[in-house]
Amino acid sequence: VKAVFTVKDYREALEEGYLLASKCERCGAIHLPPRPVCPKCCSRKLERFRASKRGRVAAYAVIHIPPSRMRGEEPYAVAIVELMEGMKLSGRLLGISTCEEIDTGIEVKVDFIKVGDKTLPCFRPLRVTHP
Amino acid sequence: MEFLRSPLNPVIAYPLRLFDCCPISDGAAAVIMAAEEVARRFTDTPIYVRGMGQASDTMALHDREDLTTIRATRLAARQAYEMAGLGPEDIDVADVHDCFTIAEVVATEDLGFFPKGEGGKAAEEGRTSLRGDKPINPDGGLKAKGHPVGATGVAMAYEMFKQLRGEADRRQVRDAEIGLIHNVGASGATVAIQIYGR
Repeated sequence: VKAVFTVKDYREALEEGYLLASKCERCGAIHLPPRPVCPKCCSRKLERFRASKRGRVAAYAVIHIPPSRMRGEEPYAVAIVELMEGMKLSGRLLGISTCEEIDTGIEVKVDFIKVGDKTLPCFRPLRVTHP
Repeated sequence: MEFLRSPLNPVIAYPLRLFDCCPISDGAAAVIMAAEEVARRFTDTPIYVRGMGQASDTMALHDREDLTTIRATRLAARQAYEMAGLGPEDIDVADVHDCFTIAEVVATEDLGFFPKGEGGKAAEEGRTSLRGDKPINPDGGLKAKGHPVGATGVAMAYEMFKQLRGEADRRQVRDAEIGLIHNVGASGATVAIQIYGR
């Protein structure tokens, strides 16, 4: 168990293509990104693990009027996804640009995109639903 | 209401359209706050702060326990109701933070005015209109009045002051004696609530 978690660890994991998470050995809570201290029970005994790359859409929006740094990308979808272990994550939902193609509950896999010099997690639907 | 589904009301972030989103605007508001005996020197009809609450929650939306509830609203409301010795049924008029259409619906449910999942229906049925049984945002709220971020909460206090003194003119809620204001920051990471009385 590493005592100190840094953002660098998480970012390096993203670059290597996985999501670094932590699990509290005392209360069993799971955290993404990993934490040095459990926010539920304050324990410092946490174990790190690689999160699954599968989940389901818990909420979504299709952005038609984007913030300036996303201009030209519209319309694009963003989602909150619940991973198989139960923790949630936000990100772009790639390959979808209309509300007809998306619904809560659809299965997605986690992927990674380069934005500038950063690697960010994103999602891709396992199969595209057609209206 | 046909135009709400027309190109005149374009989609911003599905399912929200232009008129579902408040405009970020300029504005200013001010209140004079004073101890009771001092207030009496300025006016015969002061408005009293009966209860207040403030609560916070995690910043990241995806870390929230429930995506259809602003937990900070529920916690802050509990504090304010307890301090005032009042419940949601006692509130005659309320100004809630309707930065988006759905935000008003969620707020009126979290404040206990309507059961979970029925806030939208209540608004549709006119229960939150000026002559409804739970008037919400008689001043138009953030969506219709504008949202000058820092001034918005103080403007809510101003609106309740006018309502409870019976000075709200054509937007006056009849016999308003107890009013509640509800202000949200950072998508619900922080919420402040106050209850006022005559």
